[in-house]
Amino acid sequence: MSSHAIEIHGLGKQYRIKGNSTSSLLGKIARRNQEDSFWALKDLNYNLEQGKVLGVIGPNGAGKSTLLKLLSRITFPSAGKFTAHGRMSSLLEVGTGFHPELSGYDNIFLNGSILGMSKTEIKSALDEIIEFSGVENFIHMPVKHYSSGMKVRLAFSVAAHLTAEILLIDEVLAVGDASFQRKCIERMEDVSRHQGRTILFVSHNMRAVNDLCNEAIYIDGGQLVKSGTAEEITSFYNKSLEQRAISIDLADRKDREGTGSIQLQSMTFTDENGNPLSELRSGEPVTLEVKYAGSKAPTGLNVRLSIGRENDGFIGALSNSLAGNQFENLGTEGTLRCKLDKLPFMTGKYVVNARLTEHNIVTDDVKRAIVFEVKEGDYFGSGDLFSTERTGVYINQHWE
Amino acid sequence: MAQNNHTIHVDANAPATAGRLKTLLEYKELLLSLATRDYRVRFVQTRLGYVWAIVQPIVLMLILTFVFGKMLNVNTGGIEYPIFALSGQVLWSYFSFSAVQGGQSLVQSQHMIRKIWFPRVVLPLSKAAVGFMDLAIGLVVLGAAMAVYKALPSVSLIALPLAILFTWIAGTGVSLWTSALSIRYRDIQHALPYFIQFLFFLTPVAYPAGVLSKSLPESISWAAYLNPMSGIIDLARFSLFDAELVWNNVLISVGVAVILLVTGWHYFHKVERNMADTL
Repeated sequence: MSSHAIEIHGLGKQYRIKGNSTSSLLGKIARRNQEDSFWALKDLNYNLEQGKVLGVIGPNGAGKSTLLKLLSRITFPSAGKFTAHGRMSSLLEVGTGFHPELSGYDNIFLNGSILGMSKTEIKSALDEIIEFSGVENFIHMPVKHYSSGMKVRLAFSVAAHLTAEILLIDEVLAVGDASFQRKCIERMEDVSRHQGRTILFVSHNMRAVNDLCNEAIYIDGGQLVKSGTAEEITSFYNKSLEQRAISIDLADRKDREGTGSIQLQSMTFTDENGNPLSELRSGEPVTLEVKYAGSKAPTGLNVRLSIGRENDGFIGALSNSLAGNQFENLGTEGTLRCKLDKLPFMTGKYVVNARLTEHNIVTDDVKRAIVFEVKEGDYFGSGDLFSTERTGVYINQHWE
Repeated sequence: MAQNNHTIHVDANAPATAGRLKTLLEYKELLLSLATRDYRVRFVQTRLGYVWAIVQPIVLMLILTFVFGKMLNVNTGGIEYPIFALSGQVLWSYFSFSAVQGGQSLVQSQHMIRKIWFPRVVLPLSKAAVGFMDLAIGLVVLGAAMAVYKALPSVSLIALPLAILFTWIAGTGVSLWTSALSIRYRDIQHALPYFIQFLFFLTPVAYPAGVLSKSLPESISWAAYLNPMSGIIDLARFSLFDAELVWNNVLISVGVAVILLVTGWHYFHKVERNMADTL
């Protein structure tokens, strides 16, 4: 028998692009001829050995989720085939099938059976599942009274005790608080190292991929771009990120005001280590690099970035004088860094108006200097995002 | 762990319906879990709780008795009206519950379909299992009512399980078709409950089947039995009360039910592959 856990040959998925909803009879007839299609995943070949942990990385919309959906059989391929040796369970979203009226205890059985566990398997893991979730005291209470964090813990805890030989995991670790996340990662490491399971792990978290995976593939535009060891691929990915970074060149902007003696050159979002980011998430450490250049070395330079919604509406400001920080020993050109421990913006799009002043004289003023989008992230680590539809800021707080 | 006991093979060019029954059997526990879930949450936060399951058939029986038995004085061929109505109504409820709930089950559980793989057919089938609990309770009520009226069944009672099986076939046949179609045409979601309600009036639940066939031209009186529940309810009344029975009519009804089930099963699995994309 083959030592491969998963063998993929020429796997592809083609989607039709729908204009409008065609799920009514009349709409269907009217739109019969207007159909277009694209390949979300095309001609993928890969063999994954048993017991290996494969990281799947790539930008959003690259086809990673399509690959998982195909392998987990949620959707059917348009081309190619694959064979998996062993039972396969997928954690595309934890807590699927949870019923709010049922107790946590009952939901363990329900969710377990939806994920493909037998009743006896669930029973034998039951104590461990309950203990791992940390919601022992509420286990006989209907799940509708749980906080979202508790629900996630319970759901992941069921999923973490799956007995399948092959696990497909997608971004599950993006939820829950930090200590629970660590627990999950440890559990996953346990699962792969000691139990010989094969895991396919889709993630944006390069560190997690590096820590957990033996090998990795990089997918972009529906195609396999590169495969290799996890380390090779994550560093390749980081490099490719730089090309997609949220960065803007301002040197050529003509629509600016001010004396022009010192001007903004560019703005770039980076992580703590100065690596450009391709994606911003609420609650993550972010540094905004502002490059300037002038005819002479500035003194008494102040930066003010007003942040607002797309259609005006002021939300907040980033400013060194606001923070009480003065720049010293600046050169004729240089980089100013605004460090945010936790990006406070809620999910949505924001516009930045930028202004430089030297001794209160405006030297440069650029409206809509940069427009950035923030993806949902768990700012407080509480599992509660409050809203993913409204722009605004998270205010640091705690309750007693 | 026996690694090669489970080999999953997916091929874009493989036929759609191969090996479906075997897969379904592997997922019987899920089917039962879903059915138990539905049953348990149904009466959550109600004062009467499971008593509702008994109250519902009794109240309906009383209404039918009042309207058809007393007001319209329907001729049941010597069978006491309440048990006559209840016998038809118990099977009809099972049929309509399986058909309507099953027909809506896929759209209702679309979040699950988009997130997890399992044989989708589990969803409509689990609804039929929920309906079966009601049927069992209804049969107990019917038994009690028959005891009250001292209408003891004869040896024909052995045909009752058949009538129940055929009801399941008819209800599941309809739910497979409608649930699969509703993925593409949501209109069915809305039309189905009405359709089943209309069908109730064309089904000999509150009146004997003879009334229905006699209102049709004689040459096509058999058409009354194209409604699968007509012949099946006739069969049930034969088994319970030794009511008159024309086997040919039962055959027509059962034939329609079986055709619905077989074609529904095939159609369902034909569209199953793309359900997650279409929903």
